[in-house]
Amino acid sequence: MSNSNGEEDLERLFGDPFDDHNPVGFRAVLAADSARRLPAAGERLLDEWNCNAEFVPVALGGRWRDVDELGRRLRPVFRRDAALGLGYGVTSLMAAVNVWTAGSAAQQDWLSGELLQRRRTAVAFHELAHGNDLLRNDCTARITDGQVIFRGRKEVINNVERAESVLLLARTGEDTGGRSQSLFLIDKKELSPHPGYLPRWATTGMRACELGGIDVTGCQAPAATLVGLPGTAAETAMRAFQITRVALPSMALGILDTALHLAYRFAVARQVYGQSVSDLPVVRATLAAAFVDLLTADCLATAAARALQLDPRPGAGLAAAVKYLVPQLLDEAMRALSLVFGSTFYINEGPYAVFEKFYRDLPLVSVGHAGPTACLLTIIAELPVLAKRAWRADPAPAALFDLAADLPALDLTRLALLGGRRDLLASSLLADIATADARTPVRVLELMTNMGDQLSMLGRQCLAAAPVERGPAASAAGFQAGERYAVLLAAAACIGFWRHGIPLITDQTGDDTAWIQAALLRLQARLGGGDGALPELLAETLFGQLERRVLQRRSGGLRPTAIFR
Amino acid sequence: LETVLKSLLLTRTLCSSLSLGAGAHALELGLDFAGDRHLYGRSLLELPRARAVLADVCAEYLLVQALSLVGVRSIHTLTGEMSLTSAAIKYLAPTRTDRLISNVGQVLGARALLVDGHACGQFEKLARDHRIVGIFDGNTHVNLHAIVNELPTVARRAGRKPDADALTELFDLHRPVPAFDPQRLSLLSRTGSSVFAALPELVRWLQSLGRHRPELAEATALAERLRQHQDSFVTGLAGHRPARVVPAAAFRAAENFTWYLAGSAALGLWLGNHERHDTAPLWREGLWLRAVLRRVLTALGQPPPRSLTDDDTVLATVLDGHRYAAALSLLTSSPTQRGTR
Repeated sequence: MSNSNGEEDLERLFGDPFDDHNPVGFRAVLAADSARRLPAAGERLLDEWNCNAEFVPVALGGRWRDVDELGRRLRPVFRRDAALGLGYGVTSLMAAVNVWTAGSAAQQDWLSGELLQRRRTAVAFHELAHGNDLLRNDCTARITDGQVIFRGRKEVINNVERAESVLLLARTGEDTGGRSQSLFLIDKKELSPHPGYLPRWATTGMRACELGGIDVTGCQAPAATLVGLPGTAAETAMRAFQITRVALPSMALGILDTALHLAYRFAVARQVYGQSVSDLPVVRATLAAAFVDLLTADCLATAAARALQLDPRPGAGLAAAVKYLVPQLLDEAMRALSLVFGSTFYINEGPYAVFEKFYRDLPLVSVGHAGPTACLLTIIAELPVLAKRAWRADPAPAALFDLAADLPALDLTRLALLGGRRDLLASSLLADIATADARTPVRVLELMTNMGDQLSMLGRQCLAAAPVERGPAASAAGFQAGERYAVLLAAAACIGFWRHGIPLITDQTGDDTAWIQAALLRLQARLGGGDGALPELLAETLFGQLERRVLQRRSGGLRPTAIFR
Repeated sequence: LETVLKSLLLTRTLCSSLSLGAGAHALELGLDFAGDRHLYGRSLLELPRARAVLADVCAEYLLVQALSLVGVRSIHTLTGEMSLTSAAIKYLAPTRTDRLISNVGQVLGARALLVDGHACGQFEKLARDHRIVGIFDGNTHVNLHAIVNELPTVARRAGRKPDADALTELFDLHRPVPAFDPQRLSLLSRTGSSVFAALPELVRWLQSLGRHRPELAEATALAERLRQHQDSFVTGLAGHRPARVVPAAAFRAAENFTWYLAGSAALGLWLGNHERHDTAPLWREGLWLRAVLRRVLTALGQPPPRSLTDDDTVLATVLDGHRYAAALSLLTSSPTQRGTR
């Protein structure tokens, strides 16, 4: 967006994390992690920047205009400390989006006021016994005479004790159907008697986050705390998830961005057998592959965010694909990078110790807010309709892949529960193949065509599939269809941005085909074609591009913004 | 220095027992949880996706076990080849077990990450502890590098017909192994890898066995596919020249070598012992062998279709056992019945 440079502002405020004297640098991050306490200086900095304004739509007095921007503007935090990102306030966003989607005007005004005054709200959906199967949750709410009485508890909830308010998911119906649960936005001062709190959960990663629990048995609140109509929680949450399942993975890309910088610096500095680790071709290839995976993940997250803005009725499958594939790409890239560090990975001090912390934090990003299975379930429910109605060649709206183009304002009320009529990314993939001409390098064209064939095959599979393949009892092959769809959307996004030309990748080196070839090769391997290893020439070109970015202190993502300065 | 390096050949091989122990523990926790956990109105064990993940976990465990058994016996029978065998084991066993543990974690979901989560955080601790097995005593990189240097010998020796008696001695778990002779340890194998080179011969044995036993047809087909891939792999190695700067492709070749080695070890182990176990469900008709060969082919980028029947039989066998991992042991002839658990 032309008017915004929030990402760079926040980058400047955080400064150089490698500087030991920086109070919000890696040294402070590691100390806070060991102490299992959020870094005070980091929280202060975000308070001063009024981070919560990012979560409040412009219409309600905040700074949030755009999902793509929202993800990017929080990346500087995740480049330093994912626990600070989550612990300071991402869960406030997760709660708030439900209210922006389905809350009354009064509730929206109240919550935006709270957030803009730097208060927190917790998102109390989860009960350990039921995982992502929210419809079977046990916590109940009984609405009588203008009051609501709760019974039950919510577990592993970030900030639940220190937040001033809470968005509570509770059962208002008897069955496990889609209309059995309701949402309540509660100012904790209005809850009487005071709720009980469960002891904090200890986790391997995100150790600084205050993951607690709340017991609301016997607590009363005004009935006006109900968000939307009774029984609409599942619907509201499914809408809100479409925003957060795109925005959160986008923020989390900051983790891999930093990991790449760390791995490069380590590989150059570390000497073995009389040479730098970075002189070893296998290490260069590992770094190049992780760089490409970051670009791929960024393409998918960015395209999905922009698609939501251009057509808010894609259905829940698109966001679920982002939440499924992006954490997986990050996880595998981090695993590969961890090998570069060798035994240094286990040493808890020195300039690279923060890598080990990032490695621990990442799985919580993946499992938190819908694990992979829950995401695939959302996707496979939509596949037959998409295959039947939406997978035909149709060029994407120009603004989808043009990073400089303005997007229409986000309309949260128009988010659809079930999409299926349009699939901007899949259609764009087919159109890109149909319109490819002699200027498209042969190697890229082959890979593109293969992706198109894979989409056709997937379409045939989905159309022929029995109804059981759309639900939790789907076969392993049924779930695999969901995985393949996510991979194909990522391919579509990469191709879309490549055809549009990514600014700094092209003009730094003149070679803009290396990354797209590498990205498609690696995605193809996820579809069962080859091992995804990069040919030496590609790996060397990409290593060179990554090297320039690290040395110039630029992001390894889709937009090579200035970072760590 | 030489003493240290030679003793590494033993310790690297024995590290596989650390992985097997952690793998067995993870397997227990995962299967226990899956049996008790209900999601979407069903037990996790009734959901096909969770079943597929758990069946793969079992196959992974069997693979590490087969490679490890053959590797440890090799210390006595193929002592001079331990530089290759130990590096392959030290690479593959921890890597696959890390993968196994992370797949169990997928089944456990959020609990896998809680320090006081499932079974009081046992899972989180074992995952954390096991990660270090792949790093000490020679990490992934070091082991693959060691293999890279020996690939030319591996290729040169691949065409030789192996010594059938030596193979029988190696694979038959009931035959006592000769005493270990430390003098024969060598930092470079002059004979390449006999187990790797034995694959074509082992496939022929399986084929001749299969002529009278149609139920072995699928195992034979999988083994034959592996042999064909290994054949082109060896041809590819001929173009491999030792270089001061090792290209990334050579590391991939080293990785693939470990997979062929594991496949060959599994096939040899099954052939050498199946007669004694023909009533055990795991051994009958080559069930565990098929599971392992599918895993190997998948890792080599040639995934065969999943067999739901095999997945079901493997899971039924495991869940029937008194201790799940013990039911997957290749050392016991009949699984202990589940009763007192």
